[in-house]
Parts: sequence; structure tokens; C-alpha cells
Amino acid sequence: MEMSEQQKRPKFLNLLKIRMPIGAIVSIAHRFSGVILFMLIPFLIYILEISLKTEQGFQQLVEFFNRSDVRVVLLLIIWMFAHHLVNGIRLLLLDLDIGISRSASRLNSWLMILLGILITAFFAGVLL
Amino acid sequence: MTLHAHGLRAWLLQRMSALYMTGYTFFVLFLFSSASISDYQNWHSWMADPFFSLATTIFFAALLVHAWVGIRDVIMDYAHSSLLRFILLTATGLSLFSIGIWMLRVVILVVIK
Repeated sequence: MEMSEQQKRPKFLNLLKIRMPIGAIVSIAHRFSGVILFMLIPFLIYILEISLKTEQGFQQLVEFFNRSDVRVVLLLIIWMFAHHLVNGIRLLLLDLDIGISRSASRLNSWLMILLGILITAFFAGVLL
Repeated sequence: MTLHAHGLRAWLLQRMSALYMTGYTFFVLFLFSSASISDYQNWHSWMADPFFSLATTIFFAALLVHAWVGIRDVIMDYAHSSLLRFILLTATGLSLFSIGIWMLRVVILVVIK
């Protein structure tokens, strides 16, 4: 009886139809940025290696990172890193029961988005 | 409850590595905003400094641990077949391990030069 009632429940798995709360969006962004940053680790070590191996390699990297298209991509990476870092701090505070109430958690989620954008804007000012 | 309880050790490693990386990030930002890298020799001497190279090596160790726990969580959430899970976890673990060896090689070559 109860089972058949449950089976009749409509399922809305269309992500475009679900109105997600801000906490869910921030959580997805945290996971997405984390996976992208993970995939960038080999490039980071490669850059570190080239920059330290020879003086020519170092100069080539300087020229590479002076290109404006490269700097735009770099800014996107900085945004993902900044968002992941500040939201990570929010998650650490949640572990200490700070900002755990629904209203505080929603407000802080918006604040972390804003802070991530502000940090990116600061580096845009430095790099562009 | 011991640290071997399900997931607690991973949870703790995730947070401890996060704290270290946050500290390192602010430290490096402060360092390079007050003394910028002027040329290759300058950058090389930074990395050859025992304190800075050690702090950087610990950063990468924390990064690899952090990535392992995070990617492991993602794989376990989306890959339900145990074969797929095994393949993905093994591939991730092996890549992170080789990246760690590679990073150590980069630092050691700078320090002994």
C-alpha cells in the first residue's frame, strides 16, 4: 500500500526544473572547482620544473604568462581556487557549528560567492 | 571512537591539509608581494632555501592528500560498480603517487644543485 503510493511520486530529475537552494549551488561549485584544480596539478608541477631547470625555460614561462589570453585563463583558475578556498573555510567553520543555522548558512554561501569574485577582481586588476 | 572509524581519518586529513594549504597560500602571497621574483637566479635561490623548499614540499604533500580524499569522495558518489570504482581509484592513486615523486625530484634537483 505504502510502497505503491511512493512509486507514484513524480520525480523531477531535470536539473533545469529543480530550483536549487544557494547551499546546493555553492556545494556543486566547490566540487566542480575541486575536480578542475585536481586536473591542473600536473601542469603546476610542470611549470615549477620548467621555471627551475634552465634560465631559458624561466624566460619562456615569463613570456607565456605575459600573453593576455593566457592571463584570462589564469584568472578563471584563480577564481576557482579562490572560491574553493573561501568556501572551504566556510565548511571548516560549519564543522565548528559556526554559521550552521539555515539563514546564516544561506547568507554565508552568498558571501563566499561574493568574496571569490572580489578576490578574482583584485587579481584581474593586477594581471590585466 | 578511534581514528580508524569509517571516514573519520579521511575527514581529518582533508581538513588538516586544507588548513596547511590555506596558511601556505597566504604566506606565499605575502612573501611575493613584499619581495617579488625578479629573475631566474632570484627564483632559484628562493626554492633552494631549505625553509621555503620544505614548506613547499609539505604544501604539495598536503595537496596530494587533499586531492586523494576529495576525488575519492567524488568517485564513490558517482561510480557505483565496484570494478569501475576500483579502476578509477587505482588510476587516481597511481597518478597522485607519480606526481608526488615528480615533485620531489624537482625540489631535490634544485636543492642539490
